[in-house]
Amino acid sequence: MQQILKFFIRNKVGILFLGLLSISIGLTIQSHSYHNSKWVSSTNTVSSFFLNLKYDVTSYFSLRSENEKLHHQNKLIQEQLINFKTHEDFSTPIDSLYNIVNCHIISNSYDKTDNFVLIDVGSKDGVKEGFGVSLPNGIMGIVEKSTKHYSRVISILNTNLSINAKIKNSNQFGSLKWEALSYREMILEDLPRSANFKVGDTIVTGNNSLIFPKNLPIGAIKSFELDNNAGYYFITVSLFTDMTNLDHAFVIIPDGIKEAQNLLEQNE
Amino acid sequence: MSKLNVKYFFEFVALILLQVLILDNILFLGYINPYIYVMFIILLPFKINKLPLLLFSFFLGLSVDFFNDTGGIHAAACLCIAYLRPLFIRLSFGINYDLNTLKLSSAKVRAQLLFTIVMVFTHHLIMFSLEYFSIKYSLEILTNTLYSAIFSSLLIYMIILLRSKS
Repeated sequence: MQQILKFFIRNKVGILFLGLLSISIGLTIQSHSYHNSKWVSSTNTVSSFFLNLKYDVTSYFSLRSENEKLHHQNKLIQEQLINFKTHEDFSTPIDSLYNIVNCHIISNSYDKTDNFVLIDVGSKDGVKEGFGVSLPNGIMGIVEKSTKHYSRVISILNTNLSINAKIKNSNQFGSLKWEALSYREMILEDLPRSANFKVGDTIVTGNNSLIFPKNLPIGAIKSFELDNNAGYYFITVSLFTDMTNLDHAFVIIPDGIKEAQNLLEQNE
Repeated sequence: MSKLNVKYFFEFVALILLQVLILDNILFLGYINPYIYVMFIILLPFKINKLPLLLFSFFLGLSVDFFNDTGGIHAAACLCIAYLRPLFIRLSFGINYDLNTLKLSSAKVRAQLLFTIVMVFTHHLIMFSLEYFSIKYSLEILTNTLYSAIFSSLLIYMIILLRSKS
């Protein structure tokens, strides 16, 4: 304590000078708006630099919750988008056709011939067998079996699954199958020779599926060739998403599916 | 209160009033303004303690600021030259001088002039820099400082001469 007092007494001139100087500069800065804005902007550059450094460190710790928030936001947007696109003449209420449930992917496989994926929603969340599962930029597969808390999904990387897919902006559709060659490529077959497309066109889900809403993006055309009889095309589609690196997905629950299925089965 | 203090008090008030009531309105050539209240700091006795020196000059500048509504620029400038005054005294009068016997009115012309000009110039430089408060106006700061400082120091030196004669 005494040392502090001695320091103050020894340097009393300097300390008084600094004190009065800060008072006068403070008066100058707050008296004119020009001075004020210059002072505020220059202190902003210093403080913003250090606060940015702090943000770089602390934002790392909140990544998980930020991810969940984005996932939830994605779900809402996707729901609106699907319902809007599917029902473009506005005759029924817009978000009544499809509901979306967020889920995480617990277990994934992509190296076998028949791949399955495990997701963490089940019958308790309303997920039943036969529902489609989509990704933020693609589709993942169809729910095969669901228990109370978990569901098993047949991945599209499965030779037993075939999806109704079409070329975007046209109505020509075909079947999308996986030939177990690469986890990034699938084959779109049964497109007639009169189909009009070029390399790079987008492939989306087709109109004829009760499982997936139409126009969900799947991939882009990588190459094509005609089959043996030169009547149909075999198109190699490269998928938009990397199926080895999946984190969260959306289960699409169609509202009118029971009714549509009953109607289909009636006529058979 | 001793007679000297009363004299200084009157000088303080008189200089401030002279400055704000008369001289601030001169605007020679449109923008040059003499600031002769700095004379108070120049004429304070050389052996005064530093603490009262700082306080007096701060309040001198602050009073002029109040009249001019300019925040604290005069206060800051007066404070700075009061802080640097011992340095300037050593600079103009030589290191070996005994401060007890030195008086401004009895020193050589060269030393008087140098001291006056250095004090006034520093004061004006600090004041104009704070007034413009930006680097892109450096040219205006320097020209204003130069012209005002020349004008002010001429006036101050003439007044010092008049006082030492009488």
